[in-house]
Amino acid sequence: MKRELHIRVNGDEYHLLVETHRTLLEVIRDEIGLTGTKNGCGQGECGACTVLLDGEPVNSCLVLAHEAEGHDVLTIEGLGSGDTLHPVQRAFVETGAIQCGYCTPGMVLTAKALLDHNPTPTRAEILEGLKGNLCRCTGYVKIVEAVEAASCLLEGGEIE
Amino acid sequence: MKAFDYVRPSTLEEACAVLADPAGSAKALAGGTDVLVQMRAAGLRPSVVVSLKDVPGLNFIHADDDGGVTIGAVTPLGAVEHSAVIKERCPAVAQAAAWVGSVQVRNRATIGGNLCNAAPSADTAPILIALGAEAVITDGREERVVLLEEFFTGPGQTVLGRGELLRAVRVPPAPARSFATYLKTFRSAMDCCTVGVGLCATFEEGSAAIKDVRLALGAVAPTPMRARATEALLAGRELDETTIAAASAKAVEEAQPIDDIRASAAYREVLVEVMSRRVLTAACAWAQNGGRG
Ligand SMILES: Cc1cc2nc3c(=O)[nH]c(=O)nc-3n(C[C@H](O)[C@H](O)[C@H](O)COP(=O)(O)OP(=O)(O)OC[C@H]3O[C@@H](n4cnc5c(N)ncnc54)[C@H](O)[C@@H]3O)c2cc1C
Ligand code: FES
Ligand code: FES
Repeated sequence: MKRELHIRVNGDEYHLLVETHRTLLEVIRDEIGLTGTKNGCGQGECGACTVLLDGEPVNSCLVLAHEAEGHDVLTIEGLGSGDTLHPVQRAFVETGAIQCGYCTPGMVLTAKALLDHNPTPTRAEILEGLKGNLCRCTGYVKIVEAVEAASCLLEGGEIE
Repeated sequence: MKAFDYVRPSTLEEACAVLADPAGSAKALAGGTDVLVQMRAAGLRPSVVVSLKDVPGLNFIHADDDGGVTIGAVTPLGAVEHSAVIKERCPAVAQAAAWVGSVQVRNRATIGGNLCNAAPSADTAPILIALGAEAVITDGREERVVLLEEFFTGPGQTVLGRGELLRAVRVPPAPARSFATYLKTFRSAMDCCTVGVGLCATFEEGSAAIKDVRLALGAVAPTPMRARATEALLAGRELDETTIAAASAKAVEEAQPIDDIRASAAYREVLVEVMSRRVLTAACAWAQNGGRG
């Protein structure tokens, strides 16, 4: 069964005709063509599919596309502007918190939402906040450092 | 995922009517964190998915006049975790919610979904049972109220009939001089409890003597369960090391754990003993400290 779907992704309005059993992840990647959002486990465990729904991180693999009707979605493509990276993206790049990069879009968006709520998180709060994002490469140390660096940038400082 | 029809009713009556239709296999959808996983991996094949997203009056946290709290069934666990009212009136419920999955999961997962999914390991169940919470059930026209401890009838099974929805969960006011806590053990950061223990203990004025106690266990029986024999052993007794040891041993006797993917039955028995001891020791310290800390 197809049904009309109206969603806003990265500020752009989309009016689509989408089958009712499609996930938000499938629509973002396959219908809208934004492939920065990754499909990992499909079960809510890995966080590779994280997007911000009305500013809050969700696993887009566990959200039916039609459940996002009328809502705002932010994917990794919508975070920076043009060639300018968002401070969280910049911090990940400059800290070396990216290896294969598969987890990165989800990590960055989850970190962004964490910093929106808590601009200066402790290490424990960062680990707790990123609990739903798995990384098979970095061992997390650099990722935690990147979030700390991002916090510093957002507070007006510079990366040491 | 297999295809299904999808409806998004805008009233409770309509939602219940679709769910009541004997012709189809309709499934209510709240946050979908259990439903989507089950549709993808566990062979759940509903003919119609009934979204509760647009049904008004299901997503709220209300500070009741009597000092209790009523939580709408479709309230996300993230909202429960951060609610000032819940943190003040029943902080152990906020704690239990905070321990579910990840931020991403808690932004979608609802308290009603956690209860209606009726996993023996559902993290919000033991503490809500220990606090004497009630389930407010509706068929779209009339409501009935059942104690949450009577809500679960088996793994994945509840007293909800066809066409019924959980509308809200009501947590009664905490009695004076009562201590409540939820403790969970888990294998990994993102897992349901291997064992969960919810406790609400009410003490006599100025002592560590137990006036009333409810101990609820998760993931050690087909449903979240009250440890009634343990409660009976504790009633009226002074909480001290001997009583706590006897009670913890009794809780192990009462639990009926099984071996599963998360833990063996034998390991769960050890956990029941250790965790019961821990929550009772915390309660004892709290009472001896004059009901603080
Ligand atoms: C990665 C991951 C980690 C998780 N970790 C935990 C954990 O640590 N602890 C834990 O307890 N759970 C955990 N869960 C399970 C799940 O997130 C919770 O059980 C959640 O609270 C379910 O809520 P929901 O709104 O997503 O339910 P849904 O999936 O929408 O629904 C669950 C069930 O309840 C029914 N239902 C929902 N709302 C109602 C209603 N109002 N009336 C009647 N029936 C209703 C549905 O039909 C369905 O059968 C985890 C899940 C994932 C994917
Ligand atoms: S793909 Fe969604 S959490 Fe892994
Ligand atoms: S960088 Fe490869 S999974 Fe994280």
